[in-house]
Amino acid sequence: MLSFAIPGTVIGVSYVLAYKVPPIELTGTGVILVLCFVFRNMPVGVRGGIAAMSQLDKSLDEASLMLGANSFTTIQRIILLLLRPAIFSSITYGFVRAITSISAVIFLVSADYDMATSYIIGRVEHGDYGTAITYSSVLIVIMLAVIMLMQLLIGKRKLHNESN
Amino acid sequence: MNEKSTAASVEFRNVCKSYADVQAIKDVLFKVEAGHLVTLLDPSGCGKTTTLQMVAGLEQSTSGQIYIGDQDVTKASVIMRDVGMVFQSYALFPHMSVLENVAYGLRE
Repeated sequence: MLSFAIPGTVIGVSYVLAYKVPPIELTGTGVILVLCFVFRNMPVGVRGGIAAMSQLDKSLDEASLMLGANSFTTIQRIILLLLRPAIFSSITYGFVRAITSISAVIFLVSADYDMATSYIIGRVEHGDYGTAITYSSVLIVIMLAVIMLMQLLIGKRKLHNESN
Repeated sequence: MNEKSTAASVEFRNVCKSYADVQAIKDVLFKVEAGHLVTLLDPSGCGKTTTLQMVAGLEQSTSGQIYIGDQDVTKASVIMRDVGMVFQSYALFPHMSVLENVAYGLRE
């Protein structure tokens, strides 16, 4: 939970300092942005997953094993399907947090790998509000489109006993 | 009863099960002959479920041997044992219809 609790600016500076020297030189690359988002938002996804898993009855996967399914089939056909809401909320949360993040990425972006949020801040600093607002609007539209797409792909968990 | 039965006997030979410091069952010794109906009756928390789960292979014994028929299944997996079990909570898959629940065991 530490990477979630530490302020973004501290994380950003830490990543820049940690990865600017060999053996792992990532400062200025796109990889460092991805890594930063992954590790910064992972605690929420993991916690959500653990909470959802603890809600599942242990006997469900035992029953699946008893009926002849192997562990892979059990995960694929029972566990993952029942965890759909948690997976969807974790992905949505991680994506929205990443695309709207500014504190950490402001140190990590480079000329080659810039992000919309830091670009918008730059435009505002130059007094170019029109471009900044346009970029912000496009960002909102992209976010909505991706969330709706994820909703479509992952979908809702259908529990048959809820339909009555 | 002219149908040929596929039932097999179940035998526990000094089976013990412990979780860390807690001894769940100790030196359980019994034999249930094929086709017999047996009830385990004891207070809550005495190890009835653990015993049944060890027959099914959902729990591994700490020591002792478990036999189904003439076969030593102590270390055998759930699939190898071919044992059926009805769970206390029924364990119906909530995202499936009644038909899908029934048909689950029939699929590859």
